[in-house]
Amino acid sequence: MYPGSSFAMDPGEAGAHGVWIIELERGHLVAPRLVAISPVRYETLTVDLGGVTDEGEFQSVIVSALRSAGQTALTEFSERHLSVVAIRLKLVGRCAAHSAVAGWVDRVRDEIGDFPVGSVVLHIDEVTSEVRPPVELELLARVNDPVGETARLLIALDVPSLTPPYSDLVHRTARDLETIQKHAGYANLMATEQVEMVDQSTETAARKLLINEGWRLLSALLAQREAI
Amino acid sequence: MSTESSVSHSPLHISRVGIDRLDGISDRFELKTLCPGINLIFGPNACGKSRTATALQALIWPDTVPARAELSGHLATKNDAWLVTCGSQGRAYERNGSIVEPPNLSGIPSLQRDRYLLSLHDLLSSESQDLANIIQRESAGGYDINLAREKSGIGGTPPRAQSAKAKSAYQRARAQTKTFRDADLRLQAEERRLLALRQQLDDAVAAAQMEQLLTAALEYVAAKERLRESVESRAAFPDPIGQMSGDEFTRTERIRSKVDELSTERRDAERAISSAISRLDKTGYGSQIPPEETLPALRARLGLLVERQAALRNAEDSVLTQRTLSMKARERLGATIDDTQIMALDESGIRKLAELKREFESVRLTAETQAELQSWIGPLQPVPDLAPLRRGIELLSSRLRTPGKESAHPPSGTLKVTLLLAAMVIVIEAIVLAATTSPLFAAMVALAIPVIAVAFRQVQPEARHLASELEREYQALGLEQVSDTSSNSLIADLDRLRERLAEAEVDHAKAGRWANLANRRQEAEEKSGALVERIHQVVDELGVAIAEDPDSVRLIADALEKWRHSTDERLKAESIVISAREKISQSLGQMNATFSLYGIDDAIDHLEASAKIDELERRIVEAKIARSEVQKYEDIIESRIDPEMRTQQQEIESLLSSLGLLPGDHSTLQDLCERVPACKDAQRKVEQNEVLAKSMLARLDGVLELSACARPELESRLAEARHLSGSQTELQATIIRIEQSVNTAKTSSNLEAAVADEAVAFEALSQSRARDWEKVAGWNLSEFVQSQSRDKSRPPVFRKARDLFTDFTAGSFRLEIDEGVKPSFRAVETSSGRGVGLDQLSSGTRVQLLMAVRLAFIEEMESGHQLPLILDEILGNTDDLRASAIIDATIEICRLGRQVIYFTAQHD
Repeated sequence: MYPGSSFAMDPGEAGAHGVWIIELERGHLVAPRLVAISPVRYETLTVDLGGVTDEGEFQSVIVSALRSAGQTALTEFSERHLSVVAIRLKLVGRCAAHSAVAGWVDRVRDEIGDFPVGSVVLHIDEVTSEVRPPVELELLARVNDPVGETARLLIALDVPSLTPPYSDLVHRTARDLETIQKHAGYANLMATEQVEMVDQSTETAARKLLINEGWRLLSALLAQREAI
Repeated sequence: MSTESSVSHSPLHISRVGIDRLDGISDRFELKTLCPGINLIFGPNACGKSRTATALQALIWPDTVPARAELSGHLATKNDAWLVTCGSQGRAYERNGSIVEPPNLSGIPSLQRDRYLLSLHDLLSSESQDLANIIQRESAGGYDINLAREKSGIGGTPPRAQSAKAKSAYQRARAQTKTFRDADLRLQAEERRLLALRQQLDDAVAAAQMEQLLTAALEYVAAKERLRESVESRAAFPDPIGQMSGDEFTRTERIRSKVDELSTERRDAERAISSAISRLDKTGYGSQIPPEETLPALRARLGLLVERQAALRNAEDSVLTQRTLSMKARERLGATIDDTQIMALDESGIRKLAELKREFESVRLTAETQAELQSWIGPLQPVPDLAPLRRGIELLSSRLRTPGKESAHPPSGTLKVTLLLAAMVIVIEAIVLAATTSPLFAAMVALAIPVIAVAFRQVQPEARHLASELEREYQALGLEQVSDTSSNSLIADLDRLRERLAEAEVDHAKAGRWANLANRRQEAEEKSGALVERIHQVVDELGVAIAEDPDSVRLIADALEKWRHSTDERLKAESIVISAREKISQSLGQMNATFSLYGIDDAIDHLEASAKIDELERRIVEAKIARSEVQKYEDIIESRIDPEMRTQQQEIESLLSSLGLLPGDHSTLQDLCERVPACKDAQRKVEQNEVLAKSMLARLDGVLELSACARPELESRLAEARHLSGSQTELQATIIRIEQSVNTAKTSSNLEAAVADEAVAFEALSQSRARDWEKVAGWNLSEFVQSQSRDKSRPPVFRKARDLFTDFTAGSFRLEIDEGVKPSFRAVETSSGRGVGLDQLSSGTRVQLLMAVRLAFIEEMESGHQLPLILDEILGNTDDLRASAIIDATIEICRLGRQVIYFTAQHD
């Protein structure tokens, strides 16, 4: 058993960190017991915004999720040493107000700040939004308009084997990503990361980015229709 | 769906819509018999036309039914008739009377339903905005990709790496970190040097401590040498001296002096004993002191003797007194009776004379008493008869109680009122008492009322007759007649009669007393005569020549009695005198016997006996004092002086013996004592040196091996330690200087903050790259979507729009389109072949072009039926030319088979 670091060092080390107590009873190993002594704990909190219609409801959902996460951190293993829980908030789900979520996130971070739960404080470290509009891509894809094209693109990107012209789009995007990565301005990142992205991994990243950007464009287009 | 798909592009029209409930519409209503062509629906503003349009579209796209709405409608296609019901229970579809699953009547998402709703606002945009852009947007279903791209943060131009700012910040942070890191390296070097210097300082401090230990070790060695020398010096003294305190000789001298004092004291005690024995011998009681009870016994006897002496004197005085009384009684007898006669009178004779005297006194006293009583009663009066008086009083009393003639009439009004008031008071009191205390009082009311009634009626007529009888009987008694028969007169007469009766009863009592007193005086006179007779008889019997009158006999008897009494008393006193003298003699004899026993001469009377007793007491006291002194001094000698002398001598002998000296060897003791101080000094030095050596040894705690080292080795190691510790001050100064410089460097450098800043800058750079990636991906994607839309959907829309535009303008215009990334449009007047720009078209033609593009997109989009087009007041506030164009276009749309529903608030 590798106990790992007894203290959580960065957001990549999520979960409880501490020491493992191992006892032997008559030559037999008793189940090891983790005593979490790390004062900091990193957690990724996924919040489903499905059904959220306004900002008040959004704040209520976020606060409830944070409180629940705090209680879990307190009750899981030993809470005696824990003082801070750094939260990476991941927003998912289908929400009619998808276009307003970004603004809500900025305001909720300002208003909540550090969120106390019992003896620990929850700090929102990062927020990523994968909130999607409540649409059926297949239905949208039937129409020959930008929304239909975007919907068809998203459907295609979700399929492992790509065909033209979607594969061309991914290749082209992967090349552009690589170009940016190798840009002189980001040379320091390359030197520090010491990681060379191979084509496959770049294409994977490109596909992921295209999916995210596709949803973002779709949201923006639908927002135009909702604004009419 | 499958059935409907087979008949694509056939029109679908709404024939009826019923609105039971819909927000914005107050009353339920129904639009019946909508035709497949143009339907004009008129209604004033705010009557719910827009909501009705929503309801119409909800029949086609059920997922857009507003909340809480209840709708129904009939739709018609070429082959089917549909009934659509939407409400709180959900949606229901019937096709030709059969319930079916919800179909997709439109074939396009509800999102696109706004394409079927054309408002005046849409048409006016053709005049206020760039028509080419509007045409492009309309051809793209109303979407503006460029605008969406800008809203998504991608921007309007192909993105490039935007790293300059983040890179610059990162490089600055990195340079700052490097500067601080170099400084930190220097700091670390200084700290390492500091560590070494501190080690050297620790060594120097340890050497200094070792120097102290070595110095202590050397002092310990010196102390041990001094201890050895003092032990040797102490050993030169013989053993006994070590045990001595030095004052032993002084103590023995003091003891010897004490022994001498005790010897002197013993001699004084012996002399006191001799003196006491001498005084004891002088008392005569040297061998034995009279017992304690001797003196009390003598004093008791002396007291008895004194009493007897007093009794003797009293008896002698009594003899003399009785003798005088006897002589006086004899003198009273006088010559009427000589001594021979007196002596001849025996005891009984004198007693008889005395009895006669007492009887005579009694008779005389009785006579005097009766005379006094007779004088008090007074002369005897005639006694009246008491019986008539008593009968008269009875008659008058009866007459007073009996009503006579003067009262034989009904009771007066006053009496009546009095009786009635009395009766009412009694009744009220009875009721009150019955209510408050007991119901028994209620019964009293019942009894009281008849009693009062009887009393009220009591006056009888026959009472007058009884009164007359009483008056006649009274007159017959012969008493004083009554003045009249009124009550007051009767009462006055009755009182007079009672007074007369009282006076008559007193007279009767006096008469009784008189009769009794006369009898008693007669008895007294008879007794007096009998007594004279007896006197004569007694005188004769006694044969003495005394006058025989009672007074003489009484005087003789009295004198004889006193003479006889005094003579008897004198004889008794003389007998007592004799007895007392014998007892006095007896007491003196007993006392003198005791006196003789203890060497005291005889006493002749009680005074002398008292003096002898005092002398005996004095001698006894002296003997006791002397014997006590002897005992006391003997006790002093035995219990204190002798034991103490023995103790002191034993102490001297014990002391000498403990020092190994012979008894009495005081000179040797004195010599040893003189050497004790020197020995003590030597001993004290030994002890001091021992303490010193121990304390020195204690200072070597932890390095006890130093105590075993020899002086040369210690001196050598001390020199070495001194050399090492000598650099301590310099090292401390150097350390302080370096510490100060390190602290200064630490406060002026904040490597941690710089590293954190670098991390933040790095993260910012990383995020900048992520944003660039997102922008590139977003740009590529939007370009892709735009190109796909342009290539796939726009050309057919444009072609259809061109045809429709020609139709709408009745062939007056033809639309020429130069398709490209940014298409351009030009209208050509068919009659002249002249081409004009869009901005040169009339407003009506522009509207017709806009409607053509909108309809073209719809038709290109529709994969199922032709759906109804809803026009919302598109003719309002428009000129005739444009209105005519709109109407023409609408008619053309309808002609092509599409149902048109036109809402307007204009009745004309």
